Amino acid sequence: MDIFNLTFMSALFASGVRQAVPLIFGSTGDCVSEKSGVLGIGIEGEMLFGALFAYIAALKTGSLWAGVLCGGLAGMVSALIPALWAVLLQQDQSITCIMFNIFAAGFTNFINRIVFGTNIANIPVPTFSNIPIPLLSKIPFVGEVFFNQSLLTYLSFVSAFVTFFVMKKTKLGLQLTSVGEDPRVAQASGINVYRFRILCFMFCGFMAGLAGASLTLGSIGTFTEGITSGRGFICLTIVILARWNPLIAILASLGFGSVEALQIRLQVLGSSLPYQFLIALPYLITVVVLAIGGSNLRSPKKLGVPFDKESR
Amino acid sequence: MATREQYLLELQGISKSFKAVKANDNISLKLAKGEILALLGENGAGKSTLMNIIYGIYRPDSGKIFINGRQVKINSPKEAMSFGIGMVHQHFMLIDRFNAIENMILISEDTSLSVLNRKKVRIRLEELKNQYNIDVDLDCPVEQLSISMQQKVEILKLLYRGADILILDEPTAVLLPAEAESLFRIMRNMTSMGKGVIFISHKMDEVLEISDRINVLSLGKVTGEMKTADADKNTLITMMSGEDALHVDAFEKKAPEEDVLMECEGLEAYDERHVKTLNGVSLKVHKGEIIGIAGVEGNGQEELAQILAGTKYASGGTIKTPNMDLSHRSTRRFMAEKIGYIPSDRNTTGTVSDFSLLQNWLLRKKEVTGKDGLLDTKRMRAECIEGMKIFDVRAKDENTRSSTLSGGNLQKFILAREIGNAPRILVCSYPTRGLDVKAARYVHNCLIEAKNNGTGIIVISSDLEELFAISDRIAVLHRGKVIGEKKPEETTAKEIVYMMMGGNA
Repeated sequence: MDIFNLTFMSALFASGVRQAVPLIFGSTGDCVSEKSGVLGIGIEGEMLFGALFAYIAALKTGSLWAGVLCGGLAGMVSALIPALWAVLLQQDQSITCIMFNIFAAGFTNFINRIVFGTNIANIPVPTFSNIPIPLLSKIPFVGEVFFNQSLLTYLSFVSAFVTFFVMKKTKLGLQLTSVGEDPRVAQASGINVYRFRILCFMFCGFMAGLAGASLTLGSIGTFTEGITSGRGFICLTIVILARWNPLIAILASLGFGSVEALQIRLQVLGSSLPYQFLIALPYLITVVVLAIGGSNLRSPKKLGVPFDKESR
Repeated sequence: MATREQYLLELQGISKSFKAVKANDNISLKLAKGEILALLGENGAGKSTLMNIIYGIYRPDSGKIFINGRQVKINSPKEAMSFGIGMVHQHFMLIDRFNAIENMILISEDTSLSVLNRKKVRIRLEELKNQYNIDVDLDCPVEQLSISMQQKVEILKLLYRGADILILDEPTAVLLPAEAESLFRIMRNMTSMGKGVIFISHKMDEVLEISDRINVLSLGKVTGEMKTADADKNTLITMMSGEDALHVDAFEKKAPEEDVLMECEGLEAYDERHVKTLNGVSLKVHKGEIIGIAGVEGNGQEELAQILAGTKYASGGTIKTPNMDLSHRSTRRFMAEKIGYIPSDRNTTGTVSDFSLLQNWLLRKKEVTGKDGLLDTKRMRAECIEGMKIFDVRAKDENTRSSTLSGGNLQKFILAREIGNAPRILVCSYPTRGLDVKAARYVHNCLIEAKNNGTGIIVISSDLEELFAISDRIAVLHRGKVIGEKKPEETTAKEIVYMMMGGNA
């Protein structure tokens, strides 16, 4: 088949990188919150909040960056809901987050319909345009795939790198690990565990918000109901595969992004496979990969366990 | 008489009550530079409360604290640390996944966003290691270090933060004899550098060996204060319990009978890290016999206990009772064969902490249903209350949550449950670990009584005194094998320790 030539491949992988951006943002945020012992299941809902409010803000102000910022803030503020329940009230983290996701799906639809009505398709906003990086973008193949992307894409990579640096090379990173491993010890070393975990929750929310913004403003240019379609959950898988390491999470995200890009292309090309199968492909791969790579974990010891200061 | 300035720490008339209970009643003590002060007392004597007051966790109701002659108020562990007070808790305050250096950085004064400077910390730690002769791997994650090494990391942590007064809370409870020796050397090095050490213990021999002075606490009061040179075991025991001297060995033991109750051959097992810890263990348990299993911790004891009690499958070998082959049979089958189990961990394996005592009672009972096939709560409740009464379990009632019981009471409860089943075999793993002298003696009496009634008992323990006192036979476990068996009256502790270290008998 001569359609699988170099041009096709570079276009495929460039698209894969774009598809990976929300996953990179989301998994970076979730790496941090899970390291602190907080399961970021609410990331799907936070992403939805981010996607919607980023779109609305971009539409109303005409500025894409205002949209991105708003998306991040919306994700962060919405993350406070499960954070307060899970950390302060010490409720089960999974259940509060799942409830929050259901709420987020309904609430964003509600806002969407109030603002834009139900009948017409939403007005598109311009998406981020590609800015080739001088010199680097001239490298054959690699340049086309990685260095001819939008600023938002570059930002996702930078955020993952910075997060990695902070986690591995600063005392803050040690503190983060200690809170997720043994909050009692962390507290004895002078950390306010509740505050620390809530801040991690909010950071994760902010990143999820950016992930949502990158969906609406990075590629699609509008908001549709349920736009995240499970990407938040894929982020959770990525974090496990990456063993809570944001850099490996980039690689895993690129893998998932490429599968997504491939399935879109196969649909367009008119593959003999039914399209439903193609749409299901990324999720199928998630399940398979998790079954293979999800064992032998050394997860944060107190992941998902609420901390109670008074208990022994 | 020394002046006040010469004392690192002085307490005057400290009292502390919790509701109606006076945990500390007018306690005074002094700690001089370069001195090891032993604080001796049973569980519940008020040692922990007192130390928590010094460490700023509790505030005293009355009394004064002086540090270097200056009166101070200590409101938090952080403040205690700033006064140079450091404490090694029984549960180490270390992050398992970090190595020693990272654990130091976590408690250092550096700001959160500072970039890690491992080198600086390493240099300082190497200095301290040399100065105090503490040999510990700085790069290995704490979870891969032995308990004794972890303890050394804890001590390094205090020295790193510049503590002058070191409180060690039951530091030897988790150590082997040889490891305890090395801890004592470190303690002496510390005192020779002018630090003061408070050593909390209820092990008489160690207190007599290491301390300079002894304060005895009983029921919240100081009941004795003396120089170690003037002290002897019997006076100390009297002071501790207000009772006459114990006769450690005075158990009336019936000789074991010939009948074999259980026979295992060539048992092999892997632990949860997939390391082979049992390598062909063969044992025979006779009627009315107590077999003591001695050995350095981590030589397969835990796996052996679990296999004998039926909570873990052996990867090789057989277990038989006269009735049947129990290899690869369920725990339920073991219970039906009347094999009782007293696990080493009372709170997580022995009981479900969040259950009431009655619920915990039901867990290991075979026939709990009445004629209608439903739980016969009435009968079980009566049985539970009866058992608690016989074994003197002090709890409000059978509905009390088991997590609220003290270690000694909970152990009595488990004994009541297991012995109440009239077991043919009883597997005990560290049955007196963490118990005070009185409670331990109670447990020993129960075991002896069960033995005299014909139960075959396996006692796994690291406490040689205990093994010598109650066993008919001591088997030594080394690297997953029984490398020798001795009768206690025909051997010495020295010989057993020698065997535990792998020496041939």
